[in-house]
Amino acid sequence: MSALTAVSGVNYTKYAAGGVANLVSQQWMAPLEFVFDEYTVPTGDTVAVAGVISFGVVPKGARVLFHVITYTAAGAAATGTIKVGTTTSASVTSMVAAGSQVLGALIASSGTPTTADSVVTLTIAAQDLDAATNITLTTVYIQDGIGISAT
Amino acid sequence: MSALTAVSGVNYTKYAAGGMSNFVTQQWANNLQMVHDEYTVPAGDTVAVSTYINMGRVPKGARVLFFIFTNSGSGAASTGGIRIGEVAATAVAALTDMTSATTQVLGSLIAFSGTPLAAESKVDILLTSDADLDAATNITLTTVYIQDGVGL
Repeated sequence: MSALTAVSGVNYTKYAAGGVANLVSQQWMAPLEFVFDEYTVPTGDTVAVAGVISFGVVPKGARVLFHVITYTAAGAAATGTIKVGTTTSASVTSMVAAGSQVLGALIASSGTPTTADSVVTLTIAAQDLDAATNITLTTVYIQDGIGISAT
Repeated sequence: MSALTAVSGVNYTKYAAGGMSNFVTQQWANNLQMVHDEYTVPAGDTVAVSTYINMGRVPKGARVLFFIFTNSGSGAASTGGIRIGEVAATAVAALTDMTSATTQVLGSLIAFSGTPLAAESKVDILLTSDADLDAATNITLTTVYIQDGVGL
């Protein structure tokens, strides 16, 4: 067992072995990509606790980095869980007042690329989402398979 | 009145109706865009409360998602809010005490992500506390948006 004092990431190791030319990959100097979607609860309806809102699809090979959610006042202290496919990615705190949250994705979403096109969902918890509540959800990811290539 | 249990966003509805090829729009698999700006208070000056600092412009059609703000430490407890087109895009004191160096990542209000901008618009920071921004304070503001009209 060692108490390591200087270590390198996977991509930095490539750089150290061969300079920038060796580092160039889809995980370097490639653009951030996103999926944007929005939903408004119909007049007279609510979205129930445990209700699921589908917010777009991220492609196979995506590493999801973070989510940006904005909302009008939900009227009740609804919270939620964002999932990418079946993987929990982030937790949304109370939406009782209008606001926004920038939420880093859990490493399950960023550390491993998706193996198939995956639906992004928000599962409501704690309280219902009231009628006319408007939500936008932007999911930001890098694509592990498209981008600048050294070859 | 229904307590809905499974619903879909506008774009997911397109996907559900026609698969990925129906879903492809400028709001999918497109790139985030940004406006970055920086400002340094001149030596010997301060920036007074209720002053706004212009920090770039975002184009017509933008849906602004979030901001990244950094400051070098103002020496005073300055606070502020970010505006787009002189309309609050964050809470008025969302930029909290700048006495020490800070970094903040702030989501925009839904007025700016739910609706694309109807015209090119100025981004500014309105100082809202009772403390000036001291000389030599350096701030940066990056405004991140998606473009609702350019893309695939």
